Amino acid sequence: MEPANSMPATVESTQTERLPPLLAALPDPPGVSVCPRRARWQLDLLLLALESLDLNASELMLQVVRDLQLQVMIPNRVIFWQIRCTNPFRQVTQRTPLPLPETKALTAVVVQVARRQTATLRHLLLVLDQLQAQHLPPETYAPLAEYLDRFRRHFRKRMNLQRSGLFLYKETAALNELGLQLLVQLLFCAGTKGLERLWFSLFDGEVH
Amino acid sequence: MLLQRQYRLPNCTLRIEGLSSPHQGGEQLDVVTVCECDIVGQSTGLKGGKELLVALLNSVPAAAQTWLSGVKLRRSPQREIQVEAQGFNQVALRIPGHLVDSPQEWVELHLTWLQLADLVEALDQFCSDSQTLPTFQSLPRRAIAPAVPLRQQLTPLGIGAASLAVMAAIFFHLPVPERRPDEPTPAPLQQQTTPPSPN
Repeated sequence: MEPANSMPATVESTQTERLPPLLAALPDPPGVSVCPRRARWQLDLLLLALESLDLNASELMLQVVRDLQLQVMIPNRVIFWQIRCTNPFRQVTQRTPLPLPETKALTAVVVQVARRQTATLRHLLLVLDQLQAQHLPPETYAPLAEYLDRFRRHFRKRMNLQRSGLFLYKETAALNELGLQLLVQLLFCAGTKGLERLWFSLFDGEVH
Repeated sequence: MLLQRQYRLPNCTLRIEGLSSPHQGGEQLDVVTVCECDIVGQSTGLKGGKELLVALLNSVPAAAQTWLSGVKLRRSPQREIQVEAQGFNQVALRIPGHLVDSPQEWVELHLTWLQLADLVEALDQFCSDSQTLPTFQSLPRRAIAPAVPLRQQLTPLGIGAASLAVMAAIFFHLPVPERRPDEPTPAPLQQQTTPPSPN
């Protein structure tokens, strides 16, 4: 195991046999050896939404890493940041491939943190329903407005909006819609089979 | 022995009735006879048999997975129950009438994402409870529509080919430039020799 204060130059693969049982139960998709590009973007977005939802989410993510004994893959916050930087749309992006064990670890972190936020997610979506029924914008409700504001700020600060794929998100309305979609996606992740559902959805369109 | 299982979520209640064989200790649900699904806010609940449960299990979790991944399918999947997103917070569930003992050909429910999430959760809990996992699998590449439509992909190619053709036509009509004869080079200037110094 790597010492906690060291920083490897690249994200290195972890042996499958060292995976915790929770992650070992997730099957490797056929014909895929590293995390696909869309999956890296999706996982980072979900983590970004969780950070926007809760100010302490960053610490909670590291706590979840310790609780699930994922330190083999994510020994410290620097490695965690490096793994997240494999998202190709970040301003500071790493061109190194993300191995499947690290992808599983990131998936587990998303699901576990989303589960702890289930009450908040349900509450916000319920209010959103009521606001839409009254034809009111989401910003009318202060906690939703705060979430969307934080999400927009995080997104604009960390993502490279000059990439052609992100031109759309220069507009506030498009970014708001993305933030609200992520709330629903996080709710689907937080369910009983959320881990399996998220894991398999990451490889939709990637397997032969 | 008659068994009844209930999975109660804030927006959805799934009730399964069935029979258990006496050899299994009376705990395992062997034959499903009734499947009832009540969704809060919907005037009519769904009531059917094993076919309704199987159709729900085949279509609803798969639709949730597709929506979670955000990919667009080339063609809508051929499943008995059709799940279709309509706008941001509207999902339409189209159920064949014969599954819910309805005289209508189709029964259509309009759900919010919160209601759909509860329905998915109830089905997941049922599957976990009966020790039979739903069959998760990732979608193959051929099922996914390309992120950029073919027409959009071909547009730059078409513009490039058209501009090449236009420029070729213009240059075709331009006269070929004639080669000018070389101009005679001027004779080199004679170098002045310095007279020897009188010493």
